[in-house]
Amino acid sequence: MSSIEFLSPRLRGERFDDGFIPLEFLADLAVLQEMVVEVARWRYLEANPDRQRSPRGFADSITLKLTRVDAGSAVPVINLSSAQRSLDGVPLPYQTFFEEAREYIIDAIASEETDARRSTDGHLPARYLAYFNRIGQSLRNDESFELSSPTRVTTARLTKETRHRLLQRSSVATFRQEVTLRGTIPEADQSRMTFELQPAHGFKVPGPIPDQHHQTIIDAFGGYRENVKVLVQGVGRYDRQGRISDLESVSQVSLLDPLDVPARLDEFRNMKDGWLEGKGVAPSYLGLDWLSVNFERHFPDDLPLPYVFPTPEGGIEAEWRLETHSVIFGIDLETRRGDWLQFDRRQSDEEQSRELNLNEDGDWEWMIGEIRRLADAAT
Amino acid sequence: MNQTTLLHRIIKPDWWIQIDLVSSQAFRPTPEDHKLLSVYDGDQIVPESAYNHYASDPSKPSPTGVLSVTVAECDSTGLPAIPDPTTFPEHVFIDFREFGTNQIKRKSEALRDAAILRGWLFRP
Repeated sequence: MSSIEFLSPRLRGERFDDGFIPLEFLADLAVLQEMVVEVARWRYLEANPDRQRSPRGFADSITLKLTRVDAGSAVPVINLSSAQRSLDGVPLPYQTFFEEAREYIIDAIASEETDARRSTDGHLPARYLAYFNRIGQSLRNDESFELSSPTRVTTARLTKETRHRLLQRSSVATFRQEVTLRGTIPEADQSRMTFELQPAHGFKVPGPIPDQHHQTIIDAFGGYRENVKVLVQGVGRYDRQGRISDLESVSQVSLLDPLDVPARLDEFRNMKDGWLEGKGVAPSYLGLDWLSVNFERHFPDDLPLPYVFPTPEGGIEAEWRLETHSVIFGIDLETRRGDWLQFDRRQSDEEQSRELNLNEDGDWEWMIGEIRRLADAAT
Repeated sequence: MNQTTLLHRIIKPDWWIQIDLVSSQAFRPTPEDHKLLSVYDGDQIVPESAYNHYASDPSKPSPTGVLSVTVAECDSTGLPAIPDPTTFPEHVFIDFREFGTNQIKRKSEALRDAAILRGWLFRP
């Protein structure tokens, strides 16, 4: 057995900060091997124009192996391995073509990242870009998959955006992306084992009913008139304009609390300016995205949820109704600051007010501490 | 108008209703209201007529319904109810002018709670 270090991509993002790789990401690495082999085969045929096909055993001669995960942000170290024993300094079979393949793949990502595409000559043909439909489909907004090699000075970063651009250039008509959706289930067909999810904003999204989530989907379907909502996670199929057409697979389905905050915020995406007697500014999508993500990130599951309403100025007001206390928390989605007011409904003189900066983790912690204290005091 | 008189508040956008709760903003004057909240004198007009009066203005979106508080409930939160027949005969102001932002929020919540406890008096 012979082996050389081939690729050490760095995974950046909150999921990888502990230096470990979530199992779901290993599927992406497996597809990377398929891509490297196919691109290496293309390089071989380009270098040997007299040949119709690659030699027998070309793909089998080499395997990409995950040999370790280096510390820091997770760095899977991938070796190029061959079952054949080689002398020191003697290349592995077809090693040159595999290394060329690596360079072409990294170049393809780098050129999309900088938007400085080379001419078609010397570039990875579009048919190979379709592999990015499966590589990086679980990448989230704050994550990247960084690739470099011994011959490169700079690093190429595969992100959701660069991946999207690569797929735009590929021959694929639809592309896949992991997705989390919230909504109601107005339709479920148990003979075909399919359902439709109606998000608060946008068109219905059809998907398959997995056996393990059958009951939850049917429960949500039964509660459609009562506005019972679910959280669905899975892999969505998108058209080239980036619109989701359906769910290819569904991995998680859970019933949502009726006061689920991101689901409520999604409803506000349907608002239009002038919603309050001709006045009233609609909350911005960007602001709703920010609050939704941060509320999910910071607010613990075990605490009571607030009622959430829009304000005439385009902000959000959250109201907590606790046993003896109330909290009215106005949030400015542009400045990301909030005016906190808590008071004891039984005593007119007890109240606390404070301005919070929701860009600061410490202010979220303070807010959560207060809700916990008031909720605990009531029990 | 006496202590038991109902003061009808038109609840406007659906966005201010979530499940069983109405936003306290529905009982809070906006900056354009100059701290005076408009309601209808229930001794002069029933909730459905108050709703229709408001909804008859085609420039305004259809409101959601009518919730009401009594003059006594306003008094107990320190808010005077002042008839304003010059705007139209049944018009009454609930006067928040004496109070700052936090007190206005608290008092609007108290009015909302009293109104919710009473329940919707009219919904189309």
